[in-house]
Amino acid sequence: MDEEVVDEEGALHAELAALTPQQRAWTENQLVLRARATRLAARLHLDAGDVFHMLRNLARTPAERLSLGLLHGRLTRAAHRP
Amino acid sequence: MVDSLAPLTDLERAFLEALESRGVRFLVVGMSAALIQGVRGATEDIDLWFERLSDPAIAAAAGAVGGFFVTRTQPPLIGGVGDRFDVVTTMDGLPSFDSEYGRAIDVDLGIHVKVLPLDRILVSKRAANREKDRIPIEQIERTIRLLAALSDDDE
Repeated sequence: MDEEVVDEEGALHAELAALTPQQRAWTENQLVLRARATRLAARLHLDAGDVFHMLRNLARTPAERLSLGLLHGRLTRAAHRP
Repeated sequence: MVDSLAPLTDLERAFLEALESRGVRFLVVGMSAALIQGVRGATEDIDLWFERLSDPAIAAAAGAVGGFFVTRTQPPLIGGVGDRFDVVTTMDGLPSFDSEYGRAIDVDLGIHVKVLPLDRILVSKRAANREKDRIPIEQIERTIRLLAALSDDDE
């Protein structure tokens, strides 16, 4: 079991090392966000994937959030138009 | 991508600026206000709650940007500035415009506007007790819980 964990961590480190600095920063940021989402979801009894998307949304500016919500609303209406 | 999406058109922003410059007090309420504060979801409208619908400055502001304000319809209509502004005449469960304006949050949407806080949107939607609000209420509740947990994390 421990060896498997070490192997997985080693494989992840190797994969991250092969990325460009920009790709690595993005990936590490995603990992941190997912870990935080998992921790918060467990505490709040919510779905971790849902919390991850909520955290991503909260990272946007209020203006960006409203833009996306209005765009989503418009697309939803168009999709349901006969 | 998202950065290029302005939430308001130039005309919509000009109308809000015209309201502001005339001293018209209003709040952004409803689902658009919830989205602004981080709730995930969708809406087609930006709901505006005015302090006084009889204020002639509302029509003046609309007129200043080429629009118009129809007051005898139910609800009143803001025309000529796009079709996304909805006028809200009453907010279920909330005592008065004044008390809510006092606790509103200030948000930058390219123009600074006053927005009804999430907990007050929740009070209003619960009081309205509409079937269509069932899912948004759950989304708002989850977001409030998450924001509280994040606040605890930061302390």
